[in-house]
Amino acid sequence: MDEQTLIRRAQTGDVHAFNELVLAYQDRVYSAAYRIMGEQAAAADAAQEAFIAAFRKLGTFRGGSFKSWLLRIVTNACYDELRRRKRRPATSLESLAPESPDPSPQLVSHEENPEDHAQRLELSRAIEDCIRALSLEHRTLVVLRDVEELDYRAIAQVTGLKPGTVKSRLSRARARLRDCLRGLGELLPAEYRLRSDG
Amino acid sequence: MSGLPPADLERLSAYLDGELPPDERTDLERRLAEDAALRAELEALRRVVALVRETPVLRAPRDFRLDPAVYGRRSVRRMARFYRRAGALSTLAAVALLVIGVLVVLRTEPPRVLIETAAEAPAAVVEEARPTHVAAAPTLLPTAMPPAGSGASDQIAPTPTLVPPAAPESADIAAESEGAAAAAQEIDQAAQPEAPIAEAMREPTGEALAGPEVGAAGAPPPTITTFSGGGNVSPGQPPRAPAPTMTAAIAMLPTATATVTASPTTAASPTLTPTPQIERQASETSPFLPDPGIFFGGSLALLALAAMFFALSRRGQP
Repeated sequence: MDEQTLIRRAQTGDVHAFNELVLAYQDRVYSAAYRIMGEQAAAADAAQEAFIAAFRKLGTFRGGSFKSWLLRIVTNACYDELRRRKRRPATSLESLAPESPDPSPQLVSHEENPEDHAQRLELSRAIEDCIRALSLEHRTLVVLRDVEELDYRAIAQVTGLKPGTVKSRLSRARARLRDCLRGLGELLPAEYRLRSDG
Repeated sequence: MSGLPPADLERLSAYLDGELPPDERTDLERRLAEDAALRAELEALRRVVALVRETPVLRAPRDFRLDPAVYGRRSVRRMARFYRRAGALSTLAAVALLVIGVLVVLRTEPPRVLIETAAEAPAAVVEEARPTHVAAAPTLLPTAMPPAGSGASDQIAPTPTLVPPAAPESADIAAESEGAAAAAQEIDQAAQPEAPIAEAMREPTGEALAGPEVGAAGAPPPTITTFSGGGNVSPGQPPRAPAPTMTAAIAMLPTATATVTASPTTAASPTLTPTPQIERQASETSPFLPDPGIFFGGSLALLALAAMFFALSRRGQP
């Protein structure tokens, strides 16, 4: 059954059809939540809230990219959770995230030999660290653009920013990320190494 | 940190994403061809983006599927509840209309029976006359009309049943029109000796004239009592006269004046200008009650609606 059919059936209240969509998108939604939130439990809660909200709001979905629509909902769920945490400064994610990186996010399977897998895992952690070091807004923009590959217009819809603002802030986020990744040095594969001399 | 101005970094970033307007893109590409530092920065950004895109999709730590027991067919359940309620309301309304209809029937039954009896009386001659053209034998005029304002049952106007003084073997009825159009009607009536010749008039614009010989054959007793001065009517009369055989050719013209000639065997041929006053009297003295058919029809329609709602409420149920 194709995605549009599943969406139409889910819009009539068919939770089984909606669960098919959940299965198709839950890893991606969780990944986005994890990279925005920075920790597994909070990301899982945000993803679950996002799917519940998506099911309830499905009647408002008017076509277009379902993935973008879901990402918008999960981003909002993350923002809501972060706002709750900001009201409780002791558990603020902004302060917690760089200090408590999740050491072993479970990756979707890669058929690699153990050595390659270990190297990829290490590289992945390094990149995750750099992403996590960004501010919430920069992190969100980098995730939506460079991980989820949404265009500026979609990102503007998700974040509520103007496309021009998305453009300028994304540029700054990438510049910070570049500086962070330069510090990784030899950890990066040769083709990805960034020379500090520009 | 790059030594490039933020505006250039922004252009390079948007250029990588294909979000740069065409004129700016052309300008940037021209500069890239000339400026090595700009090219190096573009390459660095490209690697950053590639690295971020290398980040794997993470496996969800748990299944986020929704529990059908909690979220299953929410809207369908809501709609089913709505349809069930609508069906119940429609059924209640149908029953209410049915009850009202029955009450209306019970309330209006006496006059209806009277009118139906009069209308059905085979010996009846129904003619239509303009109120301005009342030509009737004075002897047929009722001497008294029912008093207005009394109860509905005794407000029934005189039934247009005409009982000739002697049992007529036949009745010839000639209808004369006021204008050129005229039609004759002849009623051959093989009436039994005591059978009345009834005439029912239901035209509301007419004038009811009933002679002293006019009886209320077929009318229920309460109606008959209103004829206390109107003729030889007694409450003990049978509710319906033996039906005479009648062949009638009735000319009904708007301006016609009917002359009813009763049995030729009798000297007193009742000439009657028919009367719609029957109906008017009833309506004037009875409270207005709509046709119960409205209620029954509405009740049926509501029942059909309720059936539709109940059927809809079951649609989509597991």
